[in-house]
Amino acid sequence: MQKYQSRVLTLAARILDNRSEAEDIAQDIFVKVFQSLHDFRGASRFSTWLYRITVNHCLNHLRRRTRQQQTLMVTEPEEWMQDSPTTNPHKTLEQKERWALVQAKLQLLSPEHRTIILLRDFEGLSYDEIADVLQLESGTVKSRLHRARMELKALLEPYWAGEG
Amino acid sequence: MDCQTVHDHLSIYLDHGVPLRTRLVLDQHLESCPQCCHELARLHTITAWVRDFPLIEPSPMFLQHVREQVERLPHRSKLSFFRRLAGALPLQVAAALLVVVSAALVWQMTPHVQQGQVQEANPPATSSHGCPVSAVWRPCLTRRLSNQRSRSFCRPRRPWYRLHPDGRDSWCRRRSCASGTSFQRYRGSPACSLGGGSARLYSSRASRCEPPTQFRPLNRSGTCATDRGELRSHRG
Repeated sequence: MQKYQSRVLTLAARILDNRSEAEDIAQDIFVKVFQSLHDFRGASRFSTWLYRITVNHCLNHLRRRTRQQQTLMVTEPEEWMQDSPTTNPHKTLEQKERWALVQAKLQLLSPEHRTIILLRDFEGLSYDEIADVLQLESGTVKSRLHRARMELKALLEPYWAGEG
Repeated sequence: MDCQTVHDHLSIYLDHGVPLRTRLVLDQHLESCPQCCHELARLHTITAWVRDFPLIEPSPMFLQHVREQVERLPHRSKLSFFRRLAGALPLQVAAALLVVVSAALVWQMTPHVQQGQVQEANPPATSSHGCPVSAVWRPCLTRRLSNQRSRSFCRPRRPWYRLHPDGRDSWCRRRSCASGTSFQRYRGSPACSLGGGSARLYSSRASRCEPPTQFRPLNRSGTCATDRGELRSHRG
């Protein structure tokens, strides 16, 4: 559990864009994992199974939140920053701004597109593993990931235009 | 390959997911097209930024809260043990275990088979009826005759015999044929069985694959009369 708690929490926080909610969800996920261990048949890797539970929990939570029309509580960029590997203060500030920017743009994507980008680029899962987590065909994973990346790139164009 | 097609492949190209031939074509295009090359660089930057997201450490009470929630869960019933066990075992392992347990049970429930194997080296004692006298199955070191391509040939076979438990009117029971279990019986002395148009000796030592359709008593001289009037000696 200690091995996966940070990854599960980070994935949930990035999908939900809310750290406190993500921590509650992550706790529920680990309780659910404990309860459902007998359902784990070893057909896939444990991490894949864990990510599937995580993604399902987060997407269900988002649907509930949308139904309840709650206001999104976007956290401050500083709150995401913990244990930065960089010691250079200028670089840290730059990184913070970049993470905040990418996180903000990610939130403009649909939950499905956001999730697939996080699974591929943040968690580093293969197409087959993503297909297993999201219960999709491998071809669907490729096309959805392509669309999601293109959408995120389009959202970041103004940033690059301003930078250039 | 035009720029639009290249754009459609850029995401997979970035993940090294395109086939070699397509990759070579894309490489060639990217070398000559600065616009597509720029697009690829942008995508690469985005993936790198997402990859660099820092891990979020949970609060110090995270594990404690999970533990408390788990402890509040209702206790699992004893019945669910089998479900958990079934879940923990891969299907192949479960199937192999089932086969092993079944074989062990069959072995345990058929002690005569075990004893018969032990006695395999010793020739079975025979009764006055020509059948092996034994309460248990015994191996009979004879060979099974089989008609194939109109020629008889012998194949090593180990039929098992035993006396019928009633003891008086002794029956021999044979389990030797390819089709599984067949039964042949003796009344009195060893009999000749008729089958396939010719008489064949039937005894505890010379067995046939097909169950006999008729029995004919042996002559005093120990021979069998066939349909064609031939006599064959009883070798049983």
